[in-house]
Amino acid sequence: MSPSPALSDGARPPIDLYHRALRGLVHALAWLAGGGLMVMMLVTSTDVILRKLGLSLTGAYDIVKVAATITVAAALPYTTATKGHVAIEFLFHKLGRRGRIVVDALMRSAAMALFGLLAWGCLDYGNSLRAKGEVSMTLELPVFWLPYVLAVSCVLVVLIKLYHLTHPGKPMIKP
Amino acid sequence: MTSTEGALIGFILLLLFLTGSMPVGFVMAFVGLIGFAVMVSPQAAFSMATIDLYTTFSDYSLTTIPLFILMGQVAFHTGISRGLFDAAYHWMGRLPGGLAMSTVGASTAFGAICGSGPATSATIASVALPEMRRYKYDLQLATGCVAAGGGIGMIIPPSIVFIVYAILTEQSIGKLFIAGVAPGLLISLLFCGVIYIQCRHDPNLGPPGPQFSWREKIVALRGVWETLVLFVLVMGGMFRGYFTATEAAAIGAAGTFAIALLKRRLTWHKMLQCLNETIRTSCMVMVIVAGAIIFGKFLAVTQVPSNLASWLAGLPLPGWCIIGLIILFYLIGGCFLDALALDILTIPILYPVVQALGYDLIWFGVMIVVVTMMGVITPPVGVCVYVVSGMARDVPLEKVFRGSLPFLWALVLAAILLVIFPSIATYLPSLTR
Repeated sequence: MSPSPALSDGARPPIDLYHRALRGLVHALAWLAGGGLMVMMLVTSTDVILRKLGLSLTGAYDIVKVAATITVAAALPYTTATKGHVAIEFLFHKLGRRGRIVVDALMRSAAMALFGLLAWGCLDYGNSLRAKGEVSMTLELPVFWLPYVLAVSCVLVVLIKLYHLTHPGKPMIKP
Repeated sequence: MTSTEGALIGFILLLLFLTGSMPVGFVMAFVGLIGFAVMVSPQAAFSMATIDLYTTFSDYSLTTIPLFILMGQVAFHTGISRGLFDAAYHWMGRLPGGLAMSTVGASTAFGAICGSGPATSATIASVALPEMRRYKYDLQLATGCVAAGGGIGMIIPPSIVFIVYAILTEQSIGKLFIAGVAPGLLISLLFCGVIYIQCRHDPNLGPPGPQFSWREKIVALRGVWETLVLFVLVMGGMFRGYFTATEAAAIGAAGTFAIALLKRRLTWHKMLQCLNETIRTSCMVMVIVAGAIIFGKFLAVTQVPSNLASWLAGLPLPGWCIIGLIILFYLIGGCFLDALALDILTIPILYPVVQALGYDLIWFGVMIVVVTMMGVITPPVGVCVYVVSGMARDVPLEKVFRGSLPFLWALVLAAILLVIFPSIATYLPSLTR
């Protein structure tokens, strides 16, 4: 992956390192999301097959729920970094250059505020689940850490939006 | 501020942010959060938005979406579509416009293992467009039929739009899936009719292909077995009560992987591509669903959906007229907003209206998918047209839109037929338990 011209020209190693670390984290979470997806598929299929054989996979429901949460939460930074979210852009592109910069900055700031709040909320929610000792239905696995994963993803979305704000028009990661 | 004023300001903000190119899911969550904070309290809005985001992401029934997307992605990346097109081509290629009809046939068959319109368009475009170019097909017809044919993937089960609709309206995913079969086949026939009429009128648009012997035709059917096995496994298992929709999605995805491995078509690189695309698309859909749920909570406190439902149901107009207006709204809205996003945003508002008018919600689900199919081929945001245009870079976008136009009329005709004969959609689900 080649560094952006702004970075290579500016010769600012700490920022370059920071962006590389950010990309690395996003990729790591994308791998986690892919793994979660495979777990969902394999556990559910195995459960169905075992059920036909008169057996059962105890806690399949719990595992799939946990894997689903991890899959979507961990995919959030990657989807944002690759600009995979659906947006209506045809009116935006009709604006002049200055108009686009202003509107883009406003929209990204709003998104950063939203995900900043959601990250804080997820942390808070995880703390409340921890305090209540909330566990999954069958396997009784602690679930307080799942909102923490989502909180990390939300923080990453804020950082990715900041990157997009400072590097207009460029996806942070090519899909 | 009255609740109606609050809702109105909310809608204005929603439109402003949407036109500012903020992602649709983010906009709905953001406006919903602010609106709820103003109408109820900031603290309540804060915890509502967080819990809704978390519960949407961890919702067991929504796991159907990534699993069916994975099934379609594996089928796409491992070339299952080529066998489907070859089979259809051997049987229909000889007719005027036969290759275009084969494209519609292959799209219909591929729709049986893929629930996404754009994915179906992309898949079929990669095999059908080179063939149609080889036989000197008019590129407007060729690209138009691939773009419109992709929409068939949205109505033939499994369908992502049906799953989302089922969750938002608390309907059975299985019944919606089976309800989509007859209208899907009807639309395929109408599309073939459109192609036939165009090619009869101007034979240069789609010259007939070569004649195949009966033996060749029978042999070509071998390309259909994978799709047939998967469709029977997934849909049969679900309707026989062997497994739920979520389990069917997992079995379908695992079955597609197994077939791809057996046929040695799945490399490590392709598998990573499948996972990559699946997590991206699934996350995009789930964020829109979560955003719509948060926005829906805000609308619920303003009581606008229920008031709107009572007002519309009380209008001195026949029910079909109101349904017609709703369809017109979707048709116009689908031109400007991503079709799935529009559905997710508006279904929670409009389905109580449909229910109050006494219409069947399964039938309405099918109607929603038909108008969504219109939305993916109408300018300026017809996503299937963009997909095809991206794959046929020498064909101007306007030409693809123009090529899709005759198929839009076929969809309008299908919608009218569904209004006049609702049993086209409701008969098959009525046979299930």
